[in-house]
Amino acid sequence: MSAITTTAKVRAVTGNQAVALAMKQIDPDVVAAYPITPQTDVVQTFSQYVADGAVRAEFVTAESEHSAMSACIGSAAAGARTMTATSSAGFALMWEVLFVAASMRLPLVMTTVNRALSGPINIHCDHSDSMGGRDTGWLQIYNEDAQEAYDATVMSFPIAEHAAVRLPLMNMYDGFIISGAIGPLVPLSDGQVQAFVGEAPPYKHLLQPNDPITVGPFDGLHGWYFEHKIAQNRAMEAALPVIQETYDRFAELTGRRYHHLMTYGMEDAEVALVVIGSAAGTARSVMKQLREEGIKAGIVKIRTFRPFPTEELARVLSGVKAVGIMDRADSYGAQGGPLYLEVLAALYQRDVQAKTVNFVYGLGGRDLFPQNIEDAFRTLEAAAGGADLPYYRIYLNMKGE
Amino acid sequence: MDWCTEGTPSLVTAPVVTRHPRALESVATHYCPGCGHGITQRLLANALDELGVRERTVGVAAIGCSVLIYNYLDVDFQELPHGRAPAGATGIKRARPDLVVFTYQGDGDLAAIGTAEIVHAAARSENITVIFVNNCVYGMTGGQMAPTTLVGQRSETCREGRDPKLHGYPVRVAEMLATLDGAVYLERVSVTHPENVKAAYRAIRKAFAYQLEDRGFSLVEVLSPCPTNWGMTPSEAVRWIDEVVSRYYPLGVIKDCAPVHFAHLLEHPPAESPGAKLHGFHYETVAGPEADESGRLTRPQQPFGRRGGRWTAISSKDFQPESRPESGSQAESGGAAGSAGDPTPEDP
Ligand SMILES: Cc1ncc(C[n+]2csc(CCOP(=O)(O)OP(=O)(O)O)c2C)c(N)n1
Ligand code: SF4
Ligand SMILES: [Mg+2]
Repeated sequence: MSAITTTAKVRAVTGNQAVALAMKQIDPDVVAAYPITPQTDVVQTFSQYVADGAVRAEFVTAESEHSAMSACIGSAAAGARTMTATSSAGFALMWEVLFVAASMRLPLVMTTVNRALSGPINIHCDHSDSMGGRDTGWLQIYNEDAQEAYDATVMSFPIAEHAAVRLPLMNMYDGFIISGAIGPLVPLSDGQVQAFVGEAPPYKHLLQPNDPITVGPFDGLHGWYFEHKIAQNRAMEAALPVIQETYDRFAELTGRRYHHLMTYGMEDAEVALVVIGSAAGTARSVMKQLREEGIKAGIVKIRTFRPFPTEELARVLSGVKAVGIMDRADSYGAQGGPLYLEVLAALYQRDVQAKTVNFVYGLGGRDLFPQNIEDAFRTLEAAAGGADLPYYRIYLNMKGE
Repeated sequence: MDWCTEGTPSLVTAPVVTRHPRALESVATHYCPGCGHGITQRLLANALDELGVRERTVGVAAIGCSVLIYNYLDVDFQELPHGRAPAGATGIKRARPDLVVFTYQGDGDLAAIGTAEIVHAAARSENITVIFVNNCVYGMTGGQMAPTTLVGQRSETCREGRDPKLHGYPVRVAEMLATLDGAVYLERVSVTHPENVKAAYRAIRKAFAYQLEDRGFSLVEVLSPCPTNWGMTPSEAVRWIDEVVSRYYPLGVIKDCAPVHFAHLLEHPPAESPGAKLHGFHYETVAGPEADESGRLTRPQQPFGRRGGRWTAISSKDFQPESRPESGSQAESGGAAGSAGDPTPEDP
C-alpha cells in the first residue's frame, strides 16, 4: 500500500491510509504493532513513512499484540508519545494490558479497525472487539468514515494528554467498509497538525530515573486500589467536556464540527435510530427518503461512546415516540447489544418515555441494506402508532429462521 | 488434477508414478502459484496414508495462509487462534493419546506470536508432530517482516531490507528448540527440488512415526517459497531458498535422539548424553545439569516424571545433591532455588 503525500485539497484514500497520514503528521515518538487484517496497512503505510525518513518515530515490529501493547505501555510510561493499531483477535490479545494502560493513566492512542471476533473465524466488520473492550478504561470514539477517522486521530493526543484526563484513547472505524474502501479526505497540512497537537503537558508520574518511582505497583487489600478506580471514572467524567472543547477547537481550524452525538432530523423526529460507525451513512440516506414520504424520521449517531454522553442523549431523544438502537455487536444472554443497554439506561435514568427496540445487524460483515433500515423505521412507525415492540432483539438481514 | 493416471481413461499407457493420496481432498487450491504450502500438505497426506493413520489423525490448524488446510486434508481439524496450536494439540493428545495429533504452523504463527506455546510444548515433550512452514514472512497479512525474515530481506515493514541494528536477527527455531531436552526430533527440510522434496517427505513421515512410537515432541521445519510476498517468480523463489535461505537455515537433522532419561543424565556428563545427535551447530550442552570441572553435577534439575507415561519417574530421593547447607539456612532462604550450588528443593 503506497503512502500518500499531503499537498492537494481533496484526496481519495482508504480509511487506513487516512489514519496512517494523520499518524505521520503527528509523528509520535514510538509506534509498536503486530499486523492483523484489516488494520495491517495502517501500520504498514506508517512503516513506509519510517523507511522514507518522513517521521522520526521509533517503530517496533512486536511479536504479538500483547507485546505490542506492553511495549506501548513501556514507552508511554517513559514519557514518549505512543501510538498503535489493531483489530479483532489482536485487540482481544491485548486485553490484559489494555486495563494496565488505562489504570496507569498513560495517554496512548490506538486505532481499532473493527472486525469480528472468532469463532467461526471471520475477518469482516462488526464491533465485538472494541465493544468487548468498552470497560477497559479507554476513551472510545467511533467514526463513520475516513475523514472522521483522520480528524479523530488528529484530535486524540490533546484529549488523552489533557491534565484532567490522562487516559488512553481508541479510535474506531469499520473494517473493510471504511478501512479498505476509498473515500474523500481533506487533510490538514503537517504544520497545522503539529500546531493543533502541540506539546504534551508535563506529567510527573512517569519514569524518571533521577527521582525513582514505580509505575503500576502492587496495591493490595489495604491499599488504594478502590480509590484508584474511582479516580479513573472521575477522569472519564472530566473527559466529556474536554473532548467537546477539542472538537470545538478543531472546528475553528477546519470548519468541521463534531459533537459526542451527531443528529440528523432530530428537531422534529417521532421515530429515531441510534447508530454507530459506518451504518450512519446508510441510515441517513434512508431517513431522507422517508422524510420525503412524510415520516418524521431521525438519526442519532454516537461518536463518543466512552465516556458515554448520557445527558445529551436523553435530551435529543426526549419527545421521540419510538427509538431503535442499532447494535453491530451482541451481548449474549443480555437484554440486548451493548449500545442498546447503554441507551436504555440513559433513557430510564433521565425519565425519557419512548418505546425502544434493539436491532442487531452486520455481525461478521453481514450487509446492511437500505431496505433493512427502511424495515427498521417502518417497525418504529408502527410502534409510534400504538403497535407493540418485541422485548427481544430484531436481527436485520438474517438468513433462515 | 493430479498427475495420477489411475481412474482416467487410459489414453496414456504410462506407468503410475504417483497416486492421489487418500488423505488429500480433490479440490482446487487457493495457494498462489509456486507456494510451498501445497507441496507440504501433499507430503503430509502421503505420510498419513503410508502410516495408515488417516482415520485417527487430528490436525490443529494455525492462522496464516494455511488457515484453510482443513479443505485439503481429509482428517479432523481443530482451528485455534494465532500461535496457540501447540497448546491445543497438547489438550487433544492428552485427552486422546490414541489419536495422531499434529499442528501445521507458519513462521509468524509459531515463531512470533506463538513462541511461548511451541517452546513449552517442546519442553514438556508433548508427543505431537509439528509441521513448521517457514517462508520468512507473514504471508497471509501481505508480507510483513517476521522473526524469521533474513537479514537484508525486504518486506512490507522493512522496505530497505531487515537491518540487524533496527530489527535484530532471525530466529532459527529448530536450533533454538534443540536446546530443550523435551525436543526429540528436529529436522529442517525444503520443498524446492525433487531431492529436497523427497527428503522433506522422509522427515515428515519420520516425525509421525516417532509419535506412533511415543517418543515425544518432534518438529519438521519446512523452508517454503512465498513468491507472492518475496516479489519473485516461483522459480526465482526456489533458487532463493536453495542459494540463500538454506544457508542461513541449514537443511538436515538438527536433533534426533531417544527420549532423554534422567537417570542417564546423572551418569553421563551432558556432552555424551545418550542418543543426542546434533548436526551443523555446536551445542556444548544438549541436555541436563551442568557439570563442574570434575564432572560433578552442581546444579541439578528437578526430577521429572509423567504418571503412566513413557518417562520413568524418578523421585527426588534418587538424587543426592552435592552439598547441603547446614540445617536452618534452607528455611532462611525460603527454600527457593537459588544460585548454582543450591540444592534442589524437595518436593513439597
Ligand atoms: C491475535 C492475532 N494477531 C494477528 C493476526 C493476523 N494474522 C493472521 S495470519 C498472520 C501472519 C501469518 O504468518 P505465518 O504464520 O508466517 O503464515 P504464512 O501466511 O506466512 O504461511 C497474522 C499476523 C491474527 N489472526 N490474530
Ligand atoms: S502469500 Fe505466500 S504463503 Fe500465502 S499462499 Fe501465497 S505464496 Fe503461499
Ligand atoms: Mg510465514
